[in-house]
Amino acid sequence: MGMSVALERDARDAAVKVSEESALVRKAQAGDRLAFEELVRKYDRDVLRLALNLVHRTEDARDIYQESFLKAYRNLPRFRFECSFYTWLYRIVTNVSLDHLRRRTSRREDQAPVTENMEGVSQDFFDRQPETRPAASPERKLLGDELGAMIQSALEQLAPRERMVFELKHYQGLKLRAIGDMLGTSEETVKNSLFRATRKLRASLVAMR
Amino acid sequence: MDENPNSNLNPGECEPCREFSQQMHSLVADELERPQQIEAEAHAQSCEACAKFLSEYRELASVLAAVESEEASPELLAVCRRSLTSELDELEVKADESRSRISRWLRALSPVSSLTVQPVAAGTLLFLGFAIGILVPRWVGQQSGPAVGPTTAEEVQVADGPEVLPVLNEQDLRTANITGINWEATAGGEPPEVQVQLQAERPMTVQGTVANNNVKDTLLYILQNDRRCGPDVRIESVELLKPRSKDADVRRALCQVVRTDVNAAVRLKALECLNDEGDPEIVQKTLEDVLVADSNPGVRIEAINTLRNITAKNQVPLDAHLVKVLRERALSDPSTYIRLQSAALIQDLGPKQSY
Repeated sequence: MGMSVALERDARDAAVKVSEESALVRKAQAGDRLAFEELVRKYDRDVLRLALNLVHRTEDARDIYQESFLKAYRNLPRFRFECSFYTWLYRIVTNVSLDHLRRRTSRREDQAPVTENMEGVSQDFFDRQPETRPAASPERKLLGDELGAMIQSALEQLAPRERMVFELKHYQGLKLRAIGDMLGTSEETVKNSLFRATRKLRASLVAMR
Repeated sequence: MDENPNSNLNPGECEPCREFSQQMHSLVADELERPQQIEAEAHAQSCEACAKFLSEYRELASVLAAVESEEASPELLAVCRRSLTSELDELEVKADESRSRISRWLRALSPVSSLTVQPVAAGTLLFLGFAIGILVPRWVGQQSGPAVGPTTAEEVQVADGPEVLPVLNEQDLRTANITGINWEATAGGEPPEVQVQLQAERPMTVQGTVANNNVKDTLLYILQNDRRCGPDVRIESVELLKPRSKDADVRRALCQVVRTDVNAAVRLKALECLNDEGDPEIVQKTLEDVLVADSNPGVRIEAINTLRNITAKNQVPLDAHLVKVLRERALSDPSTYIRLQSAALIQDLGPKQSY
């Protein structure tokens, strides 16, 4: 009983939030700059985090942030409420980020250095990894940094679209359907990209022993 | 696109059994509902291929989980916001310039200007205009009863002196210069009577209390366009809007001023208005931004004081970002007062272990 009341309340709160956001978007479409900036503040932390995790360079992340929100501002009159504003915005962000990733893979000097193999260690990469999170001790922190660099290097080897799908799923925790909506493709295609990415990632990490 | 996740398998790579392939892939992607999840896990206990597949992916997931997602620092976020704001300012200025170019061009092409070089045609048109103006109302009057004169106040345009506009729009404000604000205090705590002078092709005056939407919109426009009016006019606008700070538009404008106005005195004045009223979540975010990004220590001090006041009234929801900002301020703000107040606020917000 109590739980159903709580669920109803949650649903009501969600509906109110959606309608408040729609009102804000309409105001922004009518030229209300403050309404647009409020929308920016609602989502920009997530956008910047996504950009940072994709490109790992502050300057590039800033460019993605700026370009994405300016595109959103210019194209806002074309938003027709056929999906949520969040999905629409993320569609822009993922397109801008993919362009950056593609440009980057075509410029050799921009690519991250490949992590050196560790000498004298013969066991499987996965066997060497600690089971707990890295912040617990300085040794673990060091191991965590090393591991982070290896994973980063492995991620750099993925195709931009696979990289994007992997980031949105694994680190942003989005559902495959939502990712499909953002990337303008089907859930099934996203699922396939995700598993190609996961397989490549595993193969790269195993090779780094 | 290839539709099969099992395609391009390298030799030695394990895959789930054909029958449960889709479920297993969905399971590791955390995309199954609870009953299907239980079913898939139960299957994996009796199927060697699926068990191996699951174990390998979970191993990979645990390795990836050991590396935390990179978070954007509040400083970086503040820098991004500022540069976006100035980029949007530039876009608006360009749009204004382009609009005024178009309107000049249209005026140049209008029939009135071309008639100045054709006096005969102009005279004919003038005569026709008079004839239509005199005859048509008479004819309409005969057809439909008594003629309706300009009886409502909105239809009356003041001929002498500045024009008092019934409804003001964004275009009016964009094309006018705001030359000054006069206001008179009224007795009994009522909002003051405000008069804003707009210099345009024809001078206009916006008049009324702040309860009047024309007055409110004009004052908001002043705050939103800080390059078009001096700081004295902006401070007065903030002061006059204070009685309406519960209004969502006004609150958003005040938050915007606090974040972006170039003048610290204007930002401080707007902060004062956020003290008591409004949506605590928006106010809280604004104060966080000020603490992180405002270079003026006086403004940051006012922000931390306001935050403490609001927290004392239990209006601020506790969140990780707020705590992060406060901890960072407590450690590194150049002002001792802000460092101490930030530390005190962290203590006020709850037990240490919850962070």
